[in-house]
Amino acid sequence: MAQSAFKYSHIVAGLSAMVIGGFAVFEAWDYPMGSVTRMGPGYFPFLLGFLLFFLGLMVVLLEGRLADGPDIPYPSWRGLVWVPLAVCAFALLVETAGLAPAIIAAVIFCSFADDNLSMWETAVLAIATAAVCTVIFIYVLGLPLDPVWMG
Amino acid sequence: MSVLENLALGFGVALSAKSLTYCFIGVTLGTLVGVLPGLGTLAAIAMLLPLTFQLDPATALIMLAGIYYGVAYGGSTASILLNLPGTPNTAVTALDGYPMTKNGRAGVALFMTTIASFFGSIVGILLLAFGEPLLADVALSFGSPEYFSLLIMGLLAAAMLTSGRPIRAVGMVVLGLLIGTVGIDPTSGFSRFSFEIAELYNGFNLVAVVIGLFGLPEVIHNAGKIKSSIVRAQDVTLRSMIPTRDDVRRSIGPMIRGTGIGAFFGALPGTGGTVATFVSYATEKKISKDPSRFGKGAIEGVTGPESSNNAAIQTAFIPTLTLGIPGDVVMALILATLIIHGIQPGPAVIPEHPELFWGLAASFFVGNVMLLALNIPMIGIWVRLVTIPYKYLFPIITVLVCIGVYSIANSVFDVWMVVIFALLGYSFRLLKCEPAPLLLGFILGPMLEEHLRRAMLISRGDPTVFVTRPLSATFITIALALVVVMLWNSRKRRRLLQVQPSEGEA
Repeated sequence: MAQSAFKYSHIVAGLSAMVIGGFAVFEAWDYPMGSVTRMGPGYFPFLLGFLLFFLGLMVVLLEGRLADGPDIPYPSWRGLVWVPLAVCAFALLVETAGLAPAIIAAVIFCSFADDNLSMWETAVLAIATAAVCTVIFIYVLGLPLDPVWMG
Repeated sequence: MSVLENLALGFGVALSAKSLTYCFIGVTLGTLVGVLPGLGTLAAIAMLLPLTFQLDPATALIMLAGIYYGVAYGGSTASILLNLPGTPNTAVTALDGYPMTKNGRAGVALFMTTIASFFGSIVGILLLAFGEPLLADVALSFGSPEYFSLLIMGLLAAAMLTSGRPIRAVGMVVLGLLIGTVGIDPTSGFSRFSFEIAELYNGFNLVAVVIGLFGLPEVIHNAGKIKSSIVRAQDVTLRSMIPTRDDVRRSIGPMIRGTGIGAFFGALPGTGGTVATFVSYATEKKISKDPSRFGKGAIEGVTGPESSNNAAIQTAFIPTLTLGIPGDVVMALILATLIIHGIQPGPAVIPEHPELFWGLAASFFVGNVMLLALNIPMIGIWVRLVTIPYKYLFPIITVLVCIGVYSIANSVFDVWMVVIFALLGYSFRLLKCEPAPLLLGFILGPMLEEHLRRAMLISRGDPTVFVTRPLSATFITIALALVVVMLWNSRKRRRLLQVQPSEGEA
């Protein structure tokens, strides 16, 4: 991980904190604020948003002076794309198509993240995982899901 | 009732066939998950949580706790053999454990680790059994100002001690507190940051957040990268596990010091095993006559941190069960389980459910004995498991994570949230922002807000209430001292923490 995509992680981190903090302040502005004695629902988030904005500013200003501010490494793209997609596939299918198809789809999506998994290995892994999970979670633990949705 | 009578009650619960069975299932699953690389304790517990829903609370707790310390035992196996810590708590173990493997001393490292873990756990359990009732009395005198100050102290401790960059870590805590405010405010019924999304009215699901921030980023990072290991199962035989006299002699001091360090950090809310292992390792290195041996297979670097980690795991139950303040994220999951079972955590838990607390404490003892049996004669099985290629594991882990999150509330929405938090968690990883303080903020946030409001209400808006009450003032002083010391040391600590894999390459 010697290369880095961007050298100034403190700026990205600090600015993100400022944006999120600023947004919280902006949003909490409309909530009933109450008083110190009787705090309304807006009081605590307002304080936090302000604090986060301030801390972000500190990170941008202070950490920039330190020479050893960490760089941002390149992400592992394949994992970053395929693993979340696998979870999305599961979410889309689990109640519409059933547990087994959802598991098979998730395993297939995952397999794209790793070169070393051949098609055969993926197929066996997908079917075996689906079978074992279906038995354990639906028949043993009684998860209220259909193994395969039948309309 | 005396402690002995209580222990008798506890062993009565823990030695029942049902408890023994679930304790065994828990420690076995825990070891299994701990041995498999790239799946932390959190993700493991979150994943296995649904298995406990149908049990009664005491049994559920016994099993979950078994998973927790089982993972700690198994995690050190992966650290030593593969240099791939199964959990952050065992990252330090890899520093000297893996060189021992390369020197052909894997067996000794595994054996001594098991002994050190067992020693740390047992001392931790004794402290828990004798210390908890004392603390429970103190806890009854806690008012909102005390709770607020204690929470602040815990959050600052988490931020200051778990990261080399204090400002960022405090920022992460605040972000966590903010995320914790999402949903309907329990005091006013006003919905905050929900944007008309009905599923958000109850806030984010803890398990979805945990798995998103910790479990999946690990999978994303490791997928397609971890190749096969260097050990073969036949390398670790029972004979190769016998330590030399020198190994034993060198380990006694580190084990005792490590246990003390672990017990302290475990009982302190906000910190826990991970911090304890780092402190223990640093201590051993500092007082060693020959610090250059460290990193090349020094047994002290394995046994000290391991005993501290396991002691911390046991004492972490003290603030969790007496005050209802989870010391770390795993404890929060355990508290969540209690709440699912209709038990409100706090000072009343032990008087009202003595069988629960003492049964749990006794089960720790039983579970650790089981782990001793599981880890020494059966080490060959675990070693063989370690050699399962990651390419087969990570799709299975991903699937189990999905099912685990879905089954908490039978909610697809929670699975979508996992995706969002995974992307967030991976960004944190790229930006070198530790997610642990954020999670603690998220968990403790609602409690912090409630006690702040109540404290301000009683004091009629006078903030000096936090420093005029002696206990509260003590917590605030400790918190401030921590901040000063850590800012002072932040450069030095950064160097120390560079050994942490999440800080650089894993």
